[in-house]
Amino acid sequence: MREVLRSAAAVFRKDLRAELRTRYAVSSILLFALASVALVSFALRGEALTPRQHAALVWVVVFFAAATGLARVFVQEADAGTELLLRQAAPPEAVWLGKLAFNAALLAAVEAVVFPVYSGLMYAAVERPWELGAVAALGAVAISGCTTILGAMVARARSRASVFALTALPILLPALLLLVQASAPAFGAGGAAGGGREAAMAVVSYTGILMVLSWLLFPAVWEE
Amino acid sequence: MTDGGAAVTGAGLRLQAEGLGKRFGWRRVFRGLSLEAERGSVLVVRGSNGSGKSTLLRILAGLLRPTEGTVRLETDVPEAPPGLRWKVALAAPSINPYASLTLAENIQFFLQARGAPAEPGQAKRVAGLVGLEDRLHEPVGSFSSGMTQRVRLALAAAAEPDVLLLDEPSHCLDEDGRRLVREIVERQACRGICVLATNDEREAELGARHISMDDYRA
Repeated sequence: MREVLRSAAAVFRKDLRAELRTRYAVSSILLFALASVALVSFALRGEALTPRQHAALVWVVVFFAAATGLARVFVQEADAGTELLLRQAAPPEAVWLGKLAFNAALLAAVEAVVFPVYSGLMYAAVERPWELGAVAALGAVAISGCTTILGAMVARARSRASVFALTALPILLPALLLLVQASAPAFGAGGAAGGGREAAMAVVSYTGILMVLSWLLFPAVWEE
Repeated sequence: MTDGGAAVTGAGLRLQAEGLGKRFGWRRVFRGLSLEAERGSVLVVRGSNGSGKSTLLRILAGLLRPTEGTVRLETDVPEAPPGLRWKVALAAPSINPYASLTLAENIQFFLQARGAPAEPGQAKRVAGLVGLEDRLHEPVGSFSSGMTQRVRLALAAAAEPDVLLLDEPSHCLDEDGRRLVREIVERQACRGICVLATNDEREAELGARHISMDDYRA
């Protein structure tokens, strides 16, 4: 296991270094997310949204922004002809873990920009910022947990964009609904709309199941 | 002694493939291929375009599953990690290094991900194998085709594998590069097994044992 973790750390460092140099994924995800938030804020100017609507909107933006960039970690390896080098360098479990960590870090960084911008442009008062931060971090792991293995599958498909969108949404839908419920209290929802902690626990469980399945399935997806 | 006559260190290394065959969909590339090589061997794989030389090397590297047959590597190194691929390294024109990383970063990533401990001067030593020690801190994306081919060779050789698989090793290389290929093959023959896939006459002379993929065409 130590060898897998060391190897995964090398994959993570490699991806991070390449991303810091090219800024390709972060630019495309951030551009999409900020453009979406700006568009929604112009379209709904003056409208008073409920906390639950705020939570739903911000997660829709994050999900579609993630869909534009997170599959790229594997598609890029296939397109650049580096996939066989990676397969020679690291065991499948280490590749999955390293890519998952990179995707989660990337999405967390994007969320760190998108959530405050959304809050500012949409006049969404965040009553419990630390709680929202924790749910956002959980969401980054949940979305990455799903998109990482899907990205590996998509890299082998011909119609990459459509395959990713078609597969990611149904798998992530339960997690997204729970994330909306978990983050609504942070925007001020109470009463029937509350239950944030229970929803967060459900996201943890759902993500855990996704992770275990991904860990078991990834070698079969990654190996030819 | 090696096929080429160099001294061999260690013993108990044998690469064995039996009844190998590969099919992509309905297209069968080759079938019924068996080979055997032991420490000190340089095996040359020849064959016309599309006969399956590169496919065979990928199968031997553990990167592609054969449709039929088995590959076995017997080694006497007890601490070697399990799995064929950690004892084998493949350099091929279709395997690219990371263009946005420098040569040093590519070497460090490849070795660290394979579990080799980080050592001072490691990247420089590996780059020196292919005469690129003065380009260590340049992005590989800025390299010429010949220099990129040298990087492929350096990465595969740096892993110090039991079995080194070289697919068209002189691809894009100048005369100096061809000399480096010869040195890498000779060094590998002293340590383990080298398999070369080539149709280049000069490269083919590096090995005494030849197999032709055309004999196994389906």
